[in-house]
Amino acid sequence: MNCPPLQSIEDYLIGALAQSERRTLEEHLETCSSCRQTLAHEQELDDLLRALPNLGAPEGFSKSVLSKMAAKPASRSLPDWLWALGVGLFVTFLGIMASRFGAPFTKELAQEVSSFIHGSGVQNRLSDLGAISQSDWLSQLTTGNNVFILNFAVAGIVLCWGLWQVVKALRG
Amino acid sequence: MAVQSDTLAELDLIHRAKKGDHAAFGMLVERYKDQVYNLVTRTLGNQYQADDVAQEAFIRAWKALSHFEERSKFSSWLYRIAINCAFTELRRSGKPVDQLPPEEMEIVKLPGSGALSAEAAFEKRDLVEKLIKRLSPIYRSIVVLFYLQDMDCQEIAAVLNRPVGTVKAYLHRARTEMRSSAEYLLKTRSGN
Repeated sequence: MNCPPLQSIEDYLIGALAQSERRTLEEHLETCSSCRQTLAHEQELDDLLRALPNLGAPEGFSKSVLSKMAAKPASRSLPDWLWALGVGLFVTFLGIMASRFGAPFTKELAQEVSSFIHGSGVQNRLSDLGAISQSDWLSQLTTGNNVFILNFAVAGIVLCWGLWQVVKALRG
Repeated sequence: MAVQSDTLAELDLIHRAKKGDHAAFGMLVERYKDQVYNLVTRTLGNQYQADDVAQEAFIRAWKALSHFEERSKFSSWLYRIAINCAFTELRRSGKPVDQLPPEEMEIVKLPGSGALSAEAAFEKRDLVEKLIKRLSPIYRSIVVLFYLQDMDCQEIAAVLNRPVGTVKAYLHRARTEMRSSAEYLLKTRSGN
């Protein structure tokens, strides 16, 4: 007689067998006293585990939790992903505004910084090291279009994070 | 019908608590305090820090309530937080969550049974308590959820965020550990 492994008997007890497997095992148990004995012993362990007392919370537990809650800020009503999308859209908006109206200011700033660097000789030293070209890299970087691109990059990162939160929320 | 109205009442409490209603959350605490305390105490393996850790679980649940999206049971979500709090506490005190403590591997004898006297029944219960304590915390939490909180493997998988197959395997291993650390009834019963 082919007796099932112990694991099948455990699966039977924990309700993890499919209906057909369950029926097959029950048919086997009707004819096999050895497996019936194993089942009885396993059942005994189950019964002992189920008979363990539930340890109740001590007196004043709820009161203590409520007093600690009072000291903590209330939970935020908006989920993370909504915050992230909001921040992403705001940064994008700032980017558009900067690219449209901020160009004169950024150009002026670039010129000031550039003249400071030329004056202090920093650019030459950096160029000597091969770190930058002779072109005026700083003013390129700080023109309106680049501010726009920079803002889009930041917004993109925040939006990606927001989308990741959405995916996480959907996957539970 | 009663179960359905109970679930609706619980949902109402959750919605109110999400809006910042302390009293509503207090009723949820009252409803689940014993289960959470039991789960935390048995997962930790002692009662010394259980009170603080169980309270911490409720505080975390309160702070994170807006993230509970009601696709799973509130109890499952709460138990997950409680188990995480217990695991964090164990790690903080340098105890591994998924390994057996080596110093506690000695064999324990189960008392013989037959017609169980009250004393022998007590002895057995005491022994099973010891056997559970010898399990690693992850196994302990699964045993508690399955045998004491009456959850099935599917629900436990949701609580622990692990596949159902893993939960079943852990449950098997937990039983094997308990059997191997005791001269189990299987052998002793017939001889006594």
